[in-house]
Amino acid sequence: MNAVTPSVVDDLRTVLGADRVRTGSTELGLYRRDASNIEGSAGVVCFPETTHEVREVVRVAGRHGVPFVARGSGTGLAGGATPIGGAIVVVLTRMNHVLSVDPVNRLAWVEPGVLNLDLSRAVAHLGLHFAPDPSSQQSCSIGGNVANNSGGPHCLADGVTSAHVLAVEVVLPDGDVVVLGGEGGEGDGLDLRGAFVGSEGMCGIATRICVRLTQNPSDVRTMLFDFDTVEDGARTVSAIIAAGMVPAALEMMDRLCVQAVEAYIHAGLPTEAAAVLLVEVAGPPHGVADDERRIVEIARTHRCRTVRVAQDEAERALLWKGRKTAFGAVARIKPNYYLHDTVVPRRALPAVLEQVYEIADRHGILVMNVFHAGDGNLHPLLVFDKREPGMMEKVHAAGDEIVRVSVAAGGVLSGEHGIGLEKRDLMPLMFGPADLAAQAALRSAFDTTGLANPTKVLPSPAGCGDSHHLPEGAWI
Amino acid sequence: MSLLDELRARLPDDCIQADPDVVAAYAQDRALFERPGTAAVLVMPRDTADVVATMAAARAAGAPVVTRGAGTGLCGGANAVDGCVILSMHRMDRVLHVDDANRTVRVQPGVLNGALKRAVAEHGLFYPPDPASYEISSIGGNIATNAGGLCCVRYGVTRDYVMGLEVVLASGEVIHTGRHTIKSTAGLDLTGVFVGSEGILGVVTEATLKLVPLPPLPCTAVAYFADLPAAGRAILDIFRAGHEPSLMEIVDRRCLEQVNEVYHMDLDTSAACLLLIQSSGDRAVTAIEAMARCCLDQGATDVLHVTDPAEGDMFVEVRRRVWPAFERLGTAMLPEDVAVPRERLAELLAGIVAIGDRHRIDLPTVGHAGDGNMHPVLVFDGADPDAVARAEAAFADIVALALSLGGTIAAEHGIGTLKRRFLADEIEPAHLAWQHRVKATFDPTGMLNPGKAI
Ligand SMILES: Cc1cc2nc3c(=O)[nH]c(=O)nc-3n(C[C@H](O)[C@H](O)[C@H](O)COP(=O)(O)OP(=O)(O)OC[C@H]3O[C@@H](n4cnc5c(N)ncnc54)[C@H](O)[C@@H]3O)c2cc1C
Ligand SMILES: Cc1cc2nc3c(=O)[nH]c(=O)nc-3n(C[C@H](O)[C@H](O)[C@H](O)COP(=O)(O)OP(=O)(O)OC[C@H]3O[C@@H](n4cnc5c(N)ncnc54)[C@H](O)[C@@H]3O)c2cc1C
Repeated sequence: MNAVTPSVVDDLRTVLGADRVRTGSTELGLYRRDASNIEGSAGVVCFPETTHEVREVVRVAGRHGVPFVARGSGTGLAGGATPIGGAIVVVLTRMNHVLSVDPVNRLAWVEPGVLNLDLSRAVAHLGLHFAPDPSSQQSCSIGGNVANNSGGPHCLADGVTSAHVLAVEVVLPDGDVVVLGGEGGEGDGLDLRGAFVGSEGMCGIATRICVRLTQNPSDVRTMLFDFDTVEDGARTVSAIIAAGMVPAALEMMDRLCVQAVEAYIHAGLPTEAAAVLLVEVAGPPHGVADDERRIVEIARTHRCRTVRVAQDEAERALLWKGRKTAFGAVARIKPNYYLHDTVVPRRALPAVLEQVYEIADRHGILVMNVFHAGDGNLHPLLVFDKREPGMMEKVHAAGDEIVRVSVAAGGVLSGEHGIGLEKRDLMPLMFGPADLAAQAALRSAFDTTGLANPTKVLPSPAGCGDSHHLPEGAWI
Repeated sequence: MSLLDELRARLPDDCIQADPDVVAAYAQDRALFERPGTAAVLVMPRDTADVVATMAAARAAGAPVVTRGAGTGLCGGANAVDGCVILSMHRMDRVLHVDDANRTVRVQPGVLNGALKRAVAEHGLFYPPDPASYEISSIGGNIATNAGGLCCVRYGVTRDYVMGLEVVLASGEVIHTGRHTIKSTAGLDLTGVFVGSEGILGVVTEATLKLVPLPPLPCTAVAYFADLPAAGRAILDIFRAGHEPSLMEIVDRRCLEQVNEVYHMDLDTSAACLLLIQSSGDRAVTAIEAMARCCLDQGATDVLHVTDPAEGDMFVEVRRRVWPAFERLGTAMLPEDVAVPRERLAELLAGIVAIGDRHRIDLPTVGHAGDGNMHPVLVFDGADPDAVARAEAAFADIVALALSLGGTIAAEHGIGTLKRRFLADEIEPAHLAWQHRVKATFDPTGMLNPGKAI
């Protein structure tokens, strides 16, 4: 793979014009990382505005043999959009138009740079929304959501991004443009839409996306429960699911997290409880009232200390703000955090949480847990000050152990943040050599050039390891 | 060594059947116009290792492999090609594990959809995808064709329920795709590639499927319409109003006539069509009333709604009896499978009636109105070459009609060999070439179900 040369930059300028191809140190500095701790280096940053321009940029990359990395808003947490070895960064934020909305068939065509929350706002007057709601929804792009198959609190009932993508127009790394899937959901022949969703920029660049829109529920009830033990909270979650209900959201925060959040937003959260459970049910008024009654009963049998039901929209928004700003609140405790993202089978939740506390304790690191309890998606947040000597080593060692105990409990490496660079070398924990070879084969069927976001997700085969050194900041 | 010797060297005798009559019985599915090739041998694996052994034998002998579920496919997907091994998965029919905490089930591919439904119902759980063939089609076949059904309007298609697969590739390698937890973004998702791939990429030997809680019993509404556009408007109204019916089926006049003729169900055969709607869940009673109201508002001539599940089921029975009623005619039947956006449904139905008239062919239509997926059925005398020619012409016209309305030509039955020649109409050439590239990646020598799907 080649580096960006002046002639690459010239060719890109011919396609996009000088002002949409940047090589200044500020831009290169800005785009050398995403929201993870991993830093790469960008060769050039460019800003295409149409499918045709993306295709021409990809062709320039192909002609010169230079790798390229698609980038949405750069909120990814696994280093997916981090350019390695001076790649071309293809920023899609200028392709930010909602192209069409079809309220009858409940779908919309959007450009990849449309922000998640902007789409829901654009269709709110039709009583619709885009269901995947990552906590970063104000700033992350639909293209990034597709590439990472992102989730959010409300994906428990509605499913993650893959359940909401009907079709994707993709510029393949060789410059061909294909449409995967169709408005009716099923395209004909092989359906490669599902393979593209979650491909972290390694299978081409999404330039138009047809998403499913979801009806806003007619009624919503948001409840907050608190418990003396994390275990009681976790068992409440299992019991709710076992009772045959599918709440819209089931989120949990542990004591340290609640304390941080309360100090930040003053919502009257119970700071002395071991765990707080946020439950939302949505649907027709009658059903919602019924679910609320049953859920409160279940929480009581699991020794919940207090029950708080949001009385109005303002209180509901406040409770959710507590959940969604948890990461910001952490900054008040220590300057740095490392957010993990594993999934365990629901029934293993209490045991794995126990292990997480034990691991953090042993390494002398603070850990907070704020997570999607309903689908077993843990987000242990290691909180630390990286200026303390030896701290980064401890953080990495603890993180590694947390991932391993999750996988050992029958879980997976990532629930929603993706693999990127961060967890690339842990993939063999989950997949055998034949599985990984098949994934690599699929990848090369999409990308015959090997230039689309190389070195991500798939561990390099033994022997070639040297050429794929992980950059500074990666923790494995 | 010959293919048979290669197989015998690797598999016990009871897994191999070379009797030409028996082999022929497993060599075709239910596609009418599609002539199967002559299979060399039938293999009946007991487990994944047997499938791996079969692949090794076929590779050594250079023979193609055609995987067969229950052979209920309607497009020739499981039809033999000359000299192939028919790999019939019917012995691998176990439900391996129901996990009620995570609401998943692990199964072997040969288990019939209906048997799976019953096994999970014992745990209070429900596997929604329900092709009309659910009592006779296998989960492996459902996965390979991404089968849909009556529940799809509410619950989605097979793809939405496949979480992970064990697949034997042409190379004999066994891979695991996907996940067993509810969520995962780890690695490239191969699962979706195999769903709907009609046996051309690998053999599914195990699947982990998602389950949902057993839904409450539904309320039902039925509405007769004097003209098709009125029915089309009612359907749109129902979705615009935000209702989420758990079933929405349409039965046209020709179907009503035939069902009445055979089963004397006292149906109104002067109507253009009958719309069947069900709603389940907490709000079912009010929802079904509101949907019945939408039908009335759009000019339905007769509307009835019932809360008694048994009574409701009698109406759904009208829909289920369409196929058997036409089978009584003893003629050839070829079901079509097209889908259009909801707002084009009335046009599609009217166009189909016109095509039937133009080609002088009996052309009843039933379908999943909620998702625009229609099944016009060509009913004709298979022994009369002129009738066959007219049927084929009508078939091509229906395909063209669906495409012209912005629709798709294989909504749930798959492509197989039947519609292969139409595929280029819908997918641009670069895309098709690229699909072949994906196929070649997994099956470089093209030994799996050659000539099918793409
Ligand atoms: C505070 C915070 C909270 C978060 N909460 C959640 C959460 O609740 N749930 C969750 O799932 N995630 C969460 N995330 C992670 C992140 O926001 C998501 O992964 C998001 O989808 C990334 O979108 P992005 O536009 O920022 O993508 P980027 O970070 O720019 O890119 C992510 C990946 O997508 C690829 N990519 C981007 N655009 C395209 C395109 N058009 N075509 C092809 N590939 C493309 C990139 O190459 C990269 O591999 C959170 C992040 C932060 C910082
Ligand atoms: C009366 C009737 C009604 C029907 N109604 C519907 C309906 O409502 N909706 C609908 O979608 N379909 C319907 N069908 C079509 C058919 O039942 C479905 O396509 C079904 O999914 C096929 O399953 P099968 O087990 O019979 O597969 P087969 O016909 O045996 O095979 C179908 C395809 O799957 C492949 N295959 C089978 N098993 C495997 C495996 N383990 N690994 C890899 N590939 C495999 C085969 O190679 C072939 O390409 C109907 C058919 C009939 C006869």
